[in-house]
Amino acid sequence: MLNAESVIPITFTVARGEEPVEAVLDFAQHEDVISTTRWRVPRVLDEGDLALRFRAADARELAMLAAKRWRHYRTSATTAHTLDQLQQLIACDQEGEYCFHLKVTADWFPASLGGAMVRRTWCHHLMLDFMFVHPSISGRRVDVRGVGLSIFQSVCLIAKCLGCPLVWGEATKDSSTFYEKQLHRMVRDRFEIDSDEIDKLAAQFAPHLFPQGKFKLPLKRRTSKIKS
Amino acid sequence: MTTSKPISQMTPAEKAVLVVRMKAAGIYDDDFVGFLGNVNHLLWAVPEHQARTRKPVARKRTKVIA
Repeated sequence: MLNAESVIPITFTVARGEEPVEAVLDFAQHEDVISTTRWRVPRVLDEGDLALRFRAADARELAMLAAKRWRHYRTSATTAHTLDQLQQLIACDQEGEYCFHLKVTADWFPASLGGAMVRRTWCHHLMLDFMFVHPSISGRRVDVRGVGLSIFQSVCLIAKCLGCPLVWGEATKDSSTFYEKQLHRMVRDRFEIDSDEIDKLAAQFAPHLFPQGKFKLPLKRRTSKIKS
Repeated sequence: MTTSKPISQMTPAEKAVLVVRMKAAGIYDDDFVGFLGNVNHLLWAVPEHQARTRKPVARKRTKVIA
């Protein structure tokens, strides 16, 4: 039996300095989302490059906004804490709008490395509302690279698991260059990722799920009960 | 990018290949600015609670001395 849930949590590699290290992407729980509101901009940045300080402050602000939005969805019971739960919610109401948060953690970093708030819209598209990394990373106090890229690709992997034909979002002036680089085309204030690009980005993130170029979910492990 | 086995179990040669693959995938020159967001959501930035105000003078009680 195919099991989409066994895809997430997923371990992947990021770069810490020149070393490849592992991090884990998973669905966030309420406590994880709230913990991002305790992120602080490193004080060292007050005396350094102002651009980096603003960047770190913006990352923190977006994480707080995402948490605020999460609280709103939580009161309306439309939040999903696992991929399985999200699939169940969709099965109950196919035109419902649901929200979920992703988090990236690693045993070598005290807080979460980053996260994203994603919405599954009424017409079965995924909308990337917020994506952010820890202020220490965005402010370049910690040399960790690849977290943002991996979150972006993992959203495509989830879209693939759910069978969503489109991922879309709004690009800001600062972020449009990031999307342009990943999508290999000019991006203004809006981007759309169609099913072919979803396949490509998901395969870049999790090549082991695409043997011979075809998407294949891992088999579900179930222990059969012995009848007495 | 996922790997077929944990990094801790990799030989130096396998690790070197992994670094090459990561560089090819653009992980080492990831220029993510640290945040992406829908600017419309900045509307959500309004304070949740009304700012605390001073108690009106009319509502202040004076101590009654018997």
